[in-house]
Amino acid sequence: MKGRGKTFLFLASTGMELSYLYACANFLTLAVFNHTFPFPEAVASFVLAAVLTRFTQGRGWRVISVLGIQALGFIPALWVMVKVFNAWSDSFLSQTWFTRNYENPTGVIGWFVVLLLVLWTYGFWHGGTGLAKRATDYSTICSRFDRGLFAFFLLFLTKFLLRTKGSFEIKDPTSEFLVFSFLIFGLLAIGLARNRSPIPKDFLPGYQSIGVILSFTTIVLLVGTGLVLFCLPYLTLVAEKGYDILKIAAGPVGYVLLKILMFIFGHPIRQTERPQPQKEIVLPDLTSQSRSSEWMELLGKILAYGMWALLGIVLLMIVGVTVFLLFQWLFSKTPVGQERQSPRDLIWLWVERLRRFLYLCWSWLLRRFKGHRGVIQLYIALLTWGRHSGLTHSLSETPKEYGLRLKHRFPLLTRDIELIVESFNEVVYGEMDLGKHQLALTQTAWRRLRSPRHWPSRFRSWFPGSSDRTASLNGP
Amino acid sequence: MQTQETGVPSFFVIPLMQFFVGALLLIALLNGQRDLIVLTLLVLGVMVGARLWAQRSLVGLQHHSRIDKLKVFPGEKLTLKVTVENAKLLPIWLQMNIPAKGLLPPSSGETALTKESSLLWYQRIHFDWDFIADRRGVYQVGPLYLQAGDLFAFFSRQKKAEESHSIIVYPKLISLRSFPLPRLDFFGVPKAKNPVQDPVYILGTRDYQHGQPAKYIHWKASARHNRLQEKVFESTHQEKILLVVDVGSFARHQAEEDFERALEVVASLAVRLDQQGHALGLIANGCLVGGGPAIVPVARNDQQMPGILELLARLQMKHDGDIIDVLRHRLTFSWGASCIHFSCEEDETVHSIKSYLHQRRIPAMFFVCQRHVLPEKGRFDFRHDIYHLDEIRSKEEGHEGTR
Repeated sequence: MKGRGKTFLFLASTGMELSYLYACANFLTLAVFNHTFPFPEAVASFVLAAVLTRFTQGRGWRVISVLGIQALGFIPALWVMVKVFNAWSDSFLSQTWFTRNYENPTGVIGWFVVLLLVLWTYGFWHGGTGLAKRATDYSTICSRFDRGLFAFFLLFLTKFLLRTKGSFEIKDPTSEFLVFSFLIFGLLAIGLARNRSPIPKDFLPGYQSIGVILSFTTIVLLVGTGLVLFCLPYLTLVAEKGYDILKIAAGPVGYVLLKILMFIFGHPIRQTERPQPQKEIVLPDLTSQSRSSEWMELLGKILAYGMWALLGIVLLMIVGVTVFLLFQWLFSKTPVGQERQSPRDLIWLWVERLRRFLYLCWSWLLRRFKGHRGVIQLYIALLTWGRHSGLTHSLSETPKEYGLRLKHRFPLLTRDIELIVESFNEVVYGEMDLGKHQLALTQTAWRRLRSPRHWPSRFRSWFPGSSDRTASLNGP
Repeated sequence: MQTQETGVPSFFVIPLMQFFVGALLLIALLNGQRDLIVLTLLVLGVMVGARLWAQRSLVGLQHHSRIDKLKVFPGEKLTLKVTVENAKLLPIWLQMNIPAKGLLPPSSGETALTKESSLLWYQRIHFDWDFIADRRGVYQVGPLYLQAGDLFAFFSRQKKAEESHSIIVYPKLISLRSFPLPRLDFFGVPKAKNPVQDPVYILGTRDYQHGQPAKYIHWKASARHNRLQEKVFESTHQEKILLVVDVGSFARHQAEEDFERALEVVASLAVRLDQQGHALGLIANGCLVGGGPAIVPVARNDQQMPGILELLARLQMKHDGDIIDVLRHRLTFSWGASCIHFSCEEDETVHSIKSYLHQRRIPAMFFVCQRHVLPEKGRFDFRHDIYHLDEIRSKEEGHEGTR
């Protein structure tokens, strides 16, 4: 396995291990103290332990040296954990927080908190060292995956029992997201552990570009989704804090902002106006439907999660493609021997580009509103349509030849394509005037071509090999 | 890394475990426990998805295998190349298993060539295996067993491809000492003065002797010398040797190692005699791998040597009838042929064959692997016509070369 693959496997295993460890730790602290477990600190102690273990492993050092290095990492990690969990605002380096707590002990609960934190910090630390020491073969990763799943089952069953038997509900939304990240990272780790053969592979002829793009998109999607879901609870927390800060910060300027908005949109709000007392709306009695409404609520939530997941995937795809294009642009070569341009030239260049862009926008808008009037315009539109459908017109092709190619690819649109091409030939080469009826027919054909009904087949034609398949399925 | 273990990868792959998860889902649904519903649904979804994935994994999977040599001498390297193409959008995990019994070193304890990898959409992979054929014989490489499944290898499906290669490993060629061949001289005339002449080999020209056929006149030379010239031919001295292997004697003594040694000598002798221009043939009373009679009639052509070596490669230590019967019924001795006979030990069969050949005026030599009285080491005993195999095996045994 190459170094990059090993790193990916290590990252995926880290994500998998952290997901279930943090879910358990957070549930316990929430249940006992109604307080979330510090997320970044937990991650940091886990990663630090793994890195230190990797660093000290296989060097032939004395045990005392290795233990010393581990202790040097663990003790500060524990201090940070205690400090963050108790929300002590003193500086980390200052001794005041320690002396203050020593002088004013918080009693048994305080020591219990410290004990629990020590245990969990050690748990994360041990998890990190274990990950660094453990073999990364398929069966080991699978057994860790099983262990994580069992931990989640145990956690949710405990929650379930506490709720049903003990009538004690713990609000812990984190574990639900961590299940997703656990599965994504876990399955990624299993897949990477199983398929790490060094045998060289290549894509089939004609599938090189699509293969690379698909691989890149999949990696971005999987890693991105896993990371987002893993950090989602913390990100939500940060967003809530940020919103609070924004509210506080925007308090003095809120009035000014409101005025600006009113000035822009021109609908002054009369502050003196008091809202009319609303009529009391009598709602129908839904008690009989309470059972079904719970189900509906659950269904609604599942749908909402589904929508969010879909939105997230779309967003990640956009991010992935943007990153890909950015990298493509960044790694593209600049022209050799080009003369340096003066700033004035650059300004003119940008003005010219802007002018062209505006002109294109204007012509596009005109075409949208007025439609294509002449047959030549219709034929040009057909060329663009063909290009967007994956069939670019070659300069050496006659309109008839190009039309044949299009007909071959889209057999259902044979009549419409034929009509536009024939009309173009008659006007340009035959120098004939088309009658109104013929022109209307051509325009109708063009409208049919543009119909969204044909988008799936147009989309399909982008993929290699589809032409032959389509041709064989639909006949000549 | 070749392959990883193929036991149950996860507990959740086991149907009973899936049943428990399903039961948990039911309980969670009844109690509206959202966390548990999500978890059980995800676990079941992953398992069902992986199962469906595995079911589709063999679709669009194309493969072909190629081996660089089909006939080799022991010690030669063989390369097997298998190309597998995944002509679909679904990425898969793939394991290739090719039985190659006998070709892999026994120390490895493996009887099959195995490799695994993943294949993404429209991807192609080339599996290469290098192995060395150590022992004589015919080995089967294949059929190909393709096991494909989801990328996590939770579930898989197997496909057997009827594609196999038959590899023939000839006997090892060793160095042999020189020894005189058994020969029946024509009326006691040495071979160089044999009255039978070979019209292919022209030694020169001389003045035409009356009585010689007119077809021997060299017309161009006659024109040059202005008198009749005739061609002078070389005397025919090509010898015909029939190699006989009595498999029955080896089978009776279960002397497998001696059998192999004898075949090595037979192959090496055949190669040497062929290089010396002799017409060769081989007969044995053993069964062949793949069936067929163990006979190569005496002849001299391009296909003779490969034919003899292939027969020796296919020969098994299972006797197929008595050697005298085989000689009587399956072969017609051509005039002037000599015989070299190989057997396990000097027994009654050897003497029977000796008397049979003597009756038919066929000169013969006999080589045995086990002899009660061994001659002095390094010396060839010319006084007898039964020799020990070690008398012609050179001390520096090795691979003479390949054809």
